[in-house]
Amino acid sequence: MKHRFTVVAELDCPLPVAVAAYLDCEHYLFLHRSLTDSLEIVKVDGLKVTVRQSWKALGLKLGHDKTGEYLPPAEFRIYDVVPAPRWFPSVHHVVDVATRLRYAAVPERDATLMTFEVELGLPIWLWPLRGLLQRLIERMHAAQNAEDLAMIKRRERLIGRKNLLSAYLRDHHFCYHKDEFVRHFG
Amino acid sequence: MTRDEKAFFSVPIPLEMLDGAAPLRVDLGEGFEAVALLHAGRPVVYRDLCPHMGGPMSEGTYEPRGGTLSCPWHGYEFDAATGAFARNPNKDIFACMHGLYKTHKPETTPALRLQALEHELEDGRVWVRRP
Repeated sequence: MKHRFTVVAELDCPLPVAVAAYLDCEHYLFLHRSLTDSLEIVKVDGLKVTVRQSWKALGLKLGHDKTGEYLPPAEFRIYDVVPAPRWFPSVHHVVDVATRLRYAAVPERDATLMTFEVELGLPIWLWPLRGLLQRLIERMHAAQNAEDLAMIKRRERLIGRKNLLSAYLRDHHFCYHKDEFVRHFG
Repeated sequence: MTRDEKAFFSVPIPLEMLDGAAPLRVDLGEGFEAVALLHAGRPVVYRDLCPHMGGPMSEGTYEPRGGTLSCPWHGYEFDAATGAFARNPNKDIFACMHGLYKTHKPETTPALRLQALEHELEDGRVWVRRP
């Protein structure tokens, strides 16, 4: 059974900066440390990157693998979320999660419209808990957005809104799919 | 007191506030923020600004055994004694992806360094010199 929901919000930052912050993979383990303990690249296939995201618990490293896909210029999908290791009793054995995140420019305010669509494939016995799962996902996504926006706002105070993108475009800066990003926003 | 008061920020840091376990954010007055910590028993003071992307170093992690202070945004580690860049912990994680993009040129990485602030200790207070 499919449960779908959408979160729409306006982010107070220019579109290229919202995209850059998403692709800036070096901050995932630090700024978003409450969401994961470790990250490993499992596979790279063009604009698809499969990662293993893990947490330490009881001396074990438990988590999940997920594939993230970038659809330039400003769309991101996550799918194929499976437990890692496979024997680990995880919600991902029974719940199929797929997300689609789209950013669009709001020119009149130099802001970004975020549309976050989530599709949960649930067994019938978990259907009554769909609201709880939705709230958990919404909360995690909001927390991540808040941390990203706090970073962007601090940088804006330091260097100005018009200069926010420059750090992401520097030659030495690494981020996912940088060539594609630079092609669209550089 | 022989200290030239104009050369120093007006708000000193009480030494007792530095516990050697965590960095401390201090407002030195006039909106200037610094990060202070007790490293190897001595106070060290830097501008509260990561030279990589501008993160607040005072919210980062101090590792006394390794002698590093790391940024809370990207985890870049700096030598707590000198402020010199020590390590990017992401390098190994994403090593398999380095070389995939023509627009990524790691060899051009600048020599990052925290901005050290000179200071003087007087009567249990750390006075920070204006940069």
